[in-house]
Amino acid sequence: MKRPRKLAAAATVVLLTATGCASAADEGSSEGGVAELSFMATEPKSIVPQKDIGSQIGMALCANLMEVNVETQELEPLAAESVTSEDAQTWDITLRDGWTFHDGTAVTADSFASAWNATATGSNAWQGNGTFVAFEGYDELNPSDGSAPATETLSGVEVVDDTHLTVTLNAPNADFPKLLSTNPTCPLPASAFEDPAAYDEAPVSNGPYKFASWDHNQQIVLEKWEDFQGDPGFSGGADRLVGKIYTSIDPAYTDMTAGNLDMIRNVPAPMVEKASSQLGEEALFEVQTASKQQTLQIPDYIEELKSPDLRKAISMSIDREAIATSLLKGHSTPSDSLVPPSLASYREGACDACTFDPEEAKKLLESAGGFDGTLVIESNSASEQQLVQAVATQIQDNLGIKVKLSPKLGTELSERRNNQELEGALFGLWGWAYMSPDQYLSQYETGGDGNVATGYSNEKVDALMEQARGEQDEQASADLYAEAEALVIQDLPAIPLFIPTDYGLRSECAELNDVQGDLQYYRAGYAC
Amino acid sequence: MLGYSVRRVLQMIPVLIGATFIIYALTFLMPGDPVAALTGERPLPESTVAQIRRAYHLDDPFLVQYGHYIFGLFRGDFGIDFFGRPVLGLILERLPTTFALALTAWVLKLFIGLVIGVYGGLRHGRAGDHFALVFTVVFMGIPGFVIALGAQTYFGVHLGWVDPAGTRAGWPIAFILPALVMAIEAAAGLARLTRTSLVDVLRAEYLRTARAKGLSPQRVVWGHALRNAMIPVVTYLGLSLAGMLGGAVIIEAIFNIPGIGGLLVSSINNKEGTVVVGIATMLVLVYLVFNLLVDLTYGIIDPRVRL
Repeated sequence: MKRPRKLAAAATVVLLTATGCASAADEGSSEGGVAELSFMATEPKSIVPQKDIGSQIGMALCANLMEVNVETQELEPLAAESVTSEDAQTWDITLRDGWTFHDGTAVTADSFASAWNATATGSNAWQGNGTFVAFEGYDELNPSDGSAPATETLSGVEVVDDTHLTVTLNAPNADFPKLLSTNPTCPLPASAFEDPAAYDEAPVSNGPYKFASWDHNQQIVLEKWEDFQGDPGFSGGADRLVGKIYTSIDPAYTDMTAGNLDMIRNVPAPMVEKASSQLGEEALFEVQTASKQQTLQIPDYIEELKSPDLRKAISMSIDREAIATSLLKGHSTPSDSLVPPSLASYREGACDACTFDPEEAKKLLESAGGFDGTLVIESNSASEQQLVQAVATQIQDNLGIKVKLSPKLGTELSERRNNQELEGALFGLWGWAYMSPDQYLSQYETGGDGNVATGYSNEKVDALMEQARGEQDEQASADLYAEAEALVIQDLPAIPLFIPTDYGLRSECAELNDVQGDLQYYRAGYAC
Repeated sequence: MLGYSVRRVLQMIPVLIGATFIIYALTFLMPGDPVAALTGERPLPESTVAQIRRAYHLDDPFLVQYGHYIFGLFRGDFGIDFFGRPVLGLILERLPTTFALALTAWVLKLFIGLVIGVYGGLRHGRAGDHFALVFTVVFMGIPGFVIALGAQTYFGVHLGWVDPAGTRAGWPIAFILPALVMAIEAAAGLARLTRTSLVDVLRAEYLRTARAKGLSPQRVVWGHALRNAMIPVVTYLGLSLAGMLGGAVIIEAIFNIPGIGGLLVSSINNKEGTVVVGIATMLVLVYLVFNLLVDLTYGIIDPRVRL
């Protein structure tokens, strides 16, 4: 959960050889036996959870209403006593009594309501803004004409008393408790509004770790909060967490080989191979829950690419298996569905046009009336260009059509995507903010999250999605999502490519944890 | 001398305006929407985007945007980035680190380059000279980042003498290795220049005169030959200090030194024009100041320049 959504993965550069492995915690213990773990960080724009939705530091600082318990791997109430609803539209939230922020002030219903109102206010331009789009009253706080909002509060959020609040959504959504586990729904103490500038530098929250210091461009130190009342499954083993700030992953890796760093996440594929030979297999941590997917998204507004047969032909001309074993060295698996296999709605082989069959592909291309133009594949220049190249070569060779690559800077690509000015297919990486089929299939729902890339729209899909979202029974809901996916796949607005495996790197002292596909630094156990 | 200095200072103003204009124009022409980079995949609501665009004059024509910028600049206002942080603060937070690195490297380079250069010049044509030549050619030939990565792996990881990344150990420990890498790379050029210049001067008529009138060899070399041989070297040294600030960018990335380089690269990627131009303007200013110092030093060494 809480993963920032990214269509483009980070780039990599190759370093020289190095060996040796010690632990930074050795230094820590000589300073008085503190269980210290260090992790790779970049200089954050903000460490306030609402302002950086993917911030690992924000996650460590905040105890949300709901969180995944590492020990049970279930979503459980944390700061909340309960989150319940009859109809999945109006939700009753009861807070635990006697919980406080790190400074001792009480966590009340108002701590959540005021934080949500501020985040949902468009003119604040906080990154977490979009999380509240499903709340009643969001539109009033974000007038589409750019005028200043007439109100300051979400009409759907009502504080009943100090430990009770109710939330009304625009439409039923059974995923609401999952939403309450993400960074933007963290509470804020009154002090955050009294002196926002000071709060940005030294945030006070209610989570298992409290803020200790931020030495800009050097490190951020968090310390275990003794008064945290949540189960151990919501916290980690280290007494001190040090986010060492690096400008890129390469010097962080080098620092790890020298024994100065304990944890790195989102290890790029070329580094995985190098790390397993230099640091040893035990340093590699493979995340079991697949949460990401690479696809080739095809904008519906490009007329020449509208034919489903053509799209299927393109899909069938790609030998995913070959690319996965050779170029990707087994660190990815071919994808055969519009969702990763870890989701409840996943049906094996849902995408029948995802099997490699060049003969059938050519027949389909013919029945689609051929393709004379050039297939442009746009991608973020910082993403895995070798992979994009391999996919393009497969299409070109096996289908006999012209393919042109068009790598772009992240800012330019986002602009073209958001303004629907793409010239061809888009190579993209998608991940979830929390574990739900909705997080993937909303891309194919009219106006849904991520829909802007393809602009795909289908009334039947929209209706099924709405129904699935309102269904509180997990199995029934998964069946509805699967039904929606089956409809989308007939039009193939996105060609499933690969499910990349996520890797983390660890020193001997760090025990990494898979938190529903997310590798969260603050949850790591301490083993020295 | 005063008139000369004033003239040189006044000449800096049009250069500064021209340089910022070009950099601003280049940033403006870069493709992509900076607001799109703000929040990743889920676009901000229209209303917010409109407000941000208005606040940063993004909808104005180029010249108006530049006008706003240069007007602020003359009041000492470098603007704010998209997270509302003052650009000047961001730069000043990092500039000292880059300066510390560049200056350390420069001093090391000065020492290494002059020693090798003078040695080679004095022993011209003999074994020592050839050895110095080979040394410099080798280090001029190897790309800087290869030396940097090699040194980082060997001294930082294998031997563990210094941290391979970061500046947590502080100055000078954390800066010695990266500065030495920069210095060795750059010292080669300096050594060659010094050697050639010295060899030329040693052949000059007036040195024969100096020797003929019975001056000791030390006086000849230190008092006459070196002072004249240093004129082109001083120009080179002054300009190379400014150049080292630029060269520090790559070394900063490899050794994870939180200087101006990392900030520049990330703001170019995010199309944060105010930050890019702010850094570039600062570097242009530094370059101009060094240029001025070089010219003034020239005036001291060589009185003809003042005329």
